[in-house]
Amino acid sequence: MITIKFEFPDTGEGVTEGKFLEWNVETGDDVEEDQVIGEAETDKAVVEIPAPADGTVKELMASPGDRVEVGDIIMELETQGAGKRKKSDNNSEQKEEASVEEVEETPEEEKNEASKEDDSDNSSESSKDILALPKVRKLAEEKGVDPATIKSGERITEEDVLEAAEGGNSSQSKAIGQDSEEVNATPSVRQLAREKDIDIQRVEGTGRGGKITREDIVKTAEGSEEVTEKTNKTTKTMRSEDYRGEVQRVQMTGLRKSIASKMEKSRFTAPHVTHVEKADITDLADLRDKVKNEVDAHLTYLPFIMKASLNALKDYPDLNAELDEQKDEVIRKKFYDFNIAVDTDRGLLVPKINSVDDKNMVKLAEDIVEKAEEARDEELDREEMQPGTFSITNLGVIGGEEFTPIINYPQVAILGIGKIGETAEVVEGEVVPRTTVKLSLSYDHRVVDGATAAHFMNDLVENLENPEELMVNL
Amino acid sequence: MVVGDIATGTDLVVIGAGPGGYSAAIRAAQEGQDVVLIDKEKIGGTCLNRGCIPAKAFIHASKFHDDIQHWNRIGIKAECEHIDFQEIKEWKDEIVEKLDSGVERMLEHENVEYKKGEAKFIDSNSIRVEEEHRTDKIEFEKAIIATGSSPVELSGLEFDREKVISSRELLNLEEVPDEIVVVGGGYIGMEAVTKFSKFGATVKVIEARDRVLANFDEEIVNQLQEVSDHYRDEIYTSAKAQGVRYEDDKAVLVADQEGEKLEIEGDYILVAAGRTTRPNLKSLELDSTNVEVENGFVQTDRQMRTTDENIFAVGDVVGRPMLAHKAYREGKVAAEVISGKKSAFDNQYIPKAMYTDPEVATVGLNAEKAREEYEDLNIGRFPFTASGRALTTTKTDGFIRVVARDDGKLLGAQIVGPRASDMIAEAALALEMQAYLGDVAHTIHAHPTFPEALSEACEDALDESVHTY
Amino acid sequence: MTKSKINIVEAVNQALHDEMDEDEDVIAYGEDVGEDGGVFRATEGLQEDFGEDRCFSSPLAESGIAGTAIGMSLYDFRPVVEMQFSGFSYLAFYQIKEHASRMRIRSRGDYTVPLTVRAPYGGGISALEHHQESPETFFAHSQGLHVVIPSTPQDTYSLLRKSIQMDDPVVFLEPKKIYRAFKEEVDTEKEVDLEKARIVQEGEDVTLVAWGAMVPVAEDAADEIDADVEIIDLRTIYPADFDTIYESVEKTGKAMVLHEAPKSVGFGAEIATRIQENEILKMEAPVERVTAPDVPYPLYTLEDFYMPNKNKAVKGLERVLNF
Repeated sequence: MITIKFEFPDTGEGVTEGKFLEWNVETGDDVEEDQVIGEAETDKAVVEIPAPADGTVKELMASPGDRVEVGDIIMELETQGAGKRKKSDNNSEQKEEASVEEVEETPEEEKNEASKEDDSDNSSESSKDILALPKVRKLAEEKGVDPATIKSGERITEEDVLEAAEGGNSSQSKAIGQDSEEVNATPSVRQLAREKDIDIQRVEGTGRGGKITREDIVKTAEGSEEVTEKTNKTTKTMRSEDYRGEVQRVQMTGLRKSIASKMEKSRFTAPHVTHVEKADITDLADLRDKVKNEVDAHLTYLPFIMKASLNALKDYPDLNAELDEQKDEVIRKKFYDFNIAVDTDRGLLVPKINSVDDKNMVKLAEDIVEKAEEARDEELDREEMQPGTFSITNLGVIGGEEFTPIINYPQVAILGIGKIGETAEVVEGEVVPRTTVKLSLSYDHRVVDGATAAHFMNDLVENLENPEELMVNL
Repeated sequence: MVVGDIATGTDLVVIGAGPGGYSAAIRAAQEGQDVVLIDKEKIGGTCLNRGCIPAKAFIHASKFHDDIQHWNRIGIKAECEHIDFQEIKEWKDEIVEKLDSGVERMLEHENVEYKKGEAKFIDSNSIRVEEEHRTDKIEFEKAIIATGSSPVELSGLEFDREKVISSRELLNLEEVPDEIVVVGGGYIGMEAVTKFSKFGATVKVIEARDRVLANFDEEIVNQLQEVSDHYRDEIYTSAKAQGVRYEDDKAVLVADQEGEKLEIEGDYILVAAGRTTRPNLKSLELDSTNVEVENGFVQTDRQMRTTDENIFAVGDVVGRPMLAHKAYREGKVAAEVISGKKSAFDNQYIPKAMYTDPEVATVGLNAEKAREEYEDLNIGRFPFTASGRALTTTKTDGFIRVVARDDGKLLGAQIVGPRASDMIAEAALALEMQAYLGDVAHTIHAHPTFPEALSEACEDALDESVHTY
Repeated sequence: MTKSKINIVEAVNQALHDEMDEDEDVIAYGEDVGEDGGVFRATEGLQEDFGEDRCFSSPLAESGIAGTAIGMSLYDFRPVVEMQFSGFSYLAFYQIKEHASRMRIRSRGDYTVPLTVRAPYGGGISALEHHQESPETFFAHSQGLHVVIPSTPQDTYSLLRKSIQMDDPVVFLEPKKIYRAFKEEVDTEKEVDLEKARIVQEGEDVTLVAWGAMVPVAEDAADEIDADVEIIDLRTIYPADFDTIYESVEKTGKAMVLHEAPKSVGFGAEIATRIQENEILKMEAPVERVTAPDVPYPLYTLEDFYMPNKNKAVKGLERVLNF
């Protein structure tokens, strides 16, 4: 009696997902192979879902209205003996690729999962992507499963962890617990195999008479790691022997890797458009000069720009929002927490200033200084590093007129501030020196159209060019 | 006396402080676990207190007999003036005491708490320990059952511990009896013969099967019997013990030998018909847990886990062979698994040693068993009469035999002769290391020594021997 | 001799020993406390180490024990007396409430009572009447007393020493059910604040306040439920660290109190009231109290029905989470 995990099938025509409509069966029902058990809607048509084998419905995992992807497990079916498993072509292809390696070990599907999970390079250390309760994380640790490999972006439950663990470990622990047949290996080699989670029965020995040596185990362990790495990477990496000259390899830090993955995710999820506008902030500069010595806090332009943005955001709420890709909803946020990009020795950090609407300029200035310090001193905690509702990055203090900032996922927009300096402008027909700054707004075109962005920028620039009006509207 | 029942919490509870139990307790403590060790008698269990150790002490003492004979033969005129058996027994007690306190010190050093009492399971997470004046409740994360075995009691021959005794009482006899009847021709019986016949007792053995030492190779048994008439003269095979009756001061064993009544008289009747785990397991009240017992043995996997996820079992209770060295290894495996290590009892070879005179030790397959699996074998043999070292001692009887595959890979070794119990270690190591005849034959063994014989036997298997043909 | 890991009752013993070692004025007495080392061995070895003058057994007279201790403390002693079971402390209640707790105000600060009254408290050990009482509320209501209840060996050690060092009276209740339940390493130098609660684990969904033997129960319940539970070990019942509780409730919006004493007028009532007084705008559900029912502690065969346990705690959490 085995349980088949039935995955949402690939019905072809390039369809990768659909919306599950309804079940025609209930748990406990007996079904026959090919019997229609449910319906789903793809963007091409409504499709019927056939049962993969004869059996009894054990559990239904999809509910009407759920978005399902090809490969998602939607039902568990209990069958007698070895039932046929219909899998989507994508999945079986991938697994076959993985098995074609020089490794002696004949990988079973489960074995691959296990080695992937156990040996996989923990590149996605950014625990922000993993939504799991502390006790679920603890369970994952106990079972030797990396939660990042289960799913990210969605909440991981205990069942997910146990399933992942079972897939890998059941064959492993069975091997330990079984009656060992004759194993042609010395005790220390047998122990090594156990420590490396390798089923020694499946290792081919290169020693005399088929004896499994220490090297055999080590090679097998490395081999499965290689397999993991190969299937994880999408591009080939050149080996250093291929370069024309000398190279220096620098290991990426955890922070670097995390930034890399975030940037990649953001860039390749949201269609970015950058809208640049120049603001004449001569009047603002005067105001600031007058006031900056009156206050204790270090008053830069940033608090002004934050308040100006805040005002504009109130009129264009789509820019202070988030896209719920699952539900197709734009979540307009009624609170205003801004992330301010800070450059530190370790790399780019974006601490959050909460409730920008509740604070006055001086308080904002103080907060900015405080958070920047904390970021540099590595004192920020996880909460403070979470994405807020809108981000501002001030590259101009280092250099650059205009640039194309990358949105801070999952926000919708990010404002880049260029160099502030004197430029030649035409005012009332004459060329005069004015203090200007270019503002580069990158926004997610799925949510915000060009026109909206342009209106927002006009508002923002107007606020900066007319500081007295801005004060009145605060 | 405290009012109320305050449970003690601990990581690991080990029930039984014999080889399996105490080694598990100490190993687990070394790995950082909080351990409570419980035994209803003494630390050290059967092995240290009433089994292996005291038996070897007596056997050692009994060697005097042959030694003196030999010395006389070679020119040292000596005589045994007098044997104070009491003193010998006291010396034996001293040894046991020393070992016991050695273990106690280790336990103290590792902060293992020791409780003397009888443990009973309340459920898969707690036990009750009944001590002399109190009962304690202990809640545990994991438990190890290491309760060992007890001598089998035959119906009609129940232990009265006066005339009908077990090996425990035998080792505490205050003086050498004139006659002992031993029911059971296994290794315990044969060792009893060895011990007491050298001290002058007449030992009579009855065995239900058609030969004694049925678990050993015939060739080995023949060799034994050849060397010493003790193993041959008063041995009654195919005889089933039925009961006992008492006449004057003697006990008379009543047996049935192939339909005929047989009566054998002795001062004591030693029942050495095997050992069973049942009485030890019964008092544990395993019904309150998920532990499964089949045919008297607790079901475990290679990591010593039982069918209850919180409970492990090691030693005699787990199965045969019921040997202390198996228990030692299993105890350590269980402790390591509990501490999170990936250990397992994957040992492929368990040596057996019997302290008769000459000693017998075997490991791996003998020729007969090997032939069941492999067509062609390479067998080598080396008699101790050809061993230079043996000739310089009192003992030259016996031989070593090695059995290998046709490609030379070792399958087993059997030794009858002096120091067999010591030499078998090398053979066991060679086997676990997947060695070939050449590995042993071409390793230089110091000369002149007993272990050379193993190397010589391997050479013989390779037809390279320069000392035998 | 210190063992590397100790349990709660061993921590009491260690704390008493170390404190008596450092301060000559500290004396310990109570019923069977001297040669016998206390019925739970909490005072084991103290008479041997420090002599009969500093550690001795008293007559069977709780009122006398407390009264003499108060008197001695006015004359520069620093007594740590034991009430053999918290249920017996009621006989000493008059002394403690009307004299120990009042001395400072009575003398306008000229005299204080640096007394510590220790007692094993709480149920779950299948004992008889008077042996399973949870009297923390009676003492908390007395004004002028600190009431401290640790739940781990580390807290027991550090808080007991702090309590002895205090110049004002402390009632130190030890959760005897878990006296030997687990061992941990105790850092004798660790500074633990007497009036601060301990966050056992952080969470976002609900705040669970517990103390004494109920802390392990809270942990078990939090493990079982599919939610992120923030557990606060109150440690000092009076004066209680409400700030920590408020901060937590501001985060979670939901709260539950778990205590052994009966519901009505148990300390959970005070906590619930304070939470609603200070955090009503942040609250998403009424404060849940999982406690023993309003009956005298019953015969031990009914104990399982009386004491709050993991299942009751889980049900309580579910009620508050699903409100």
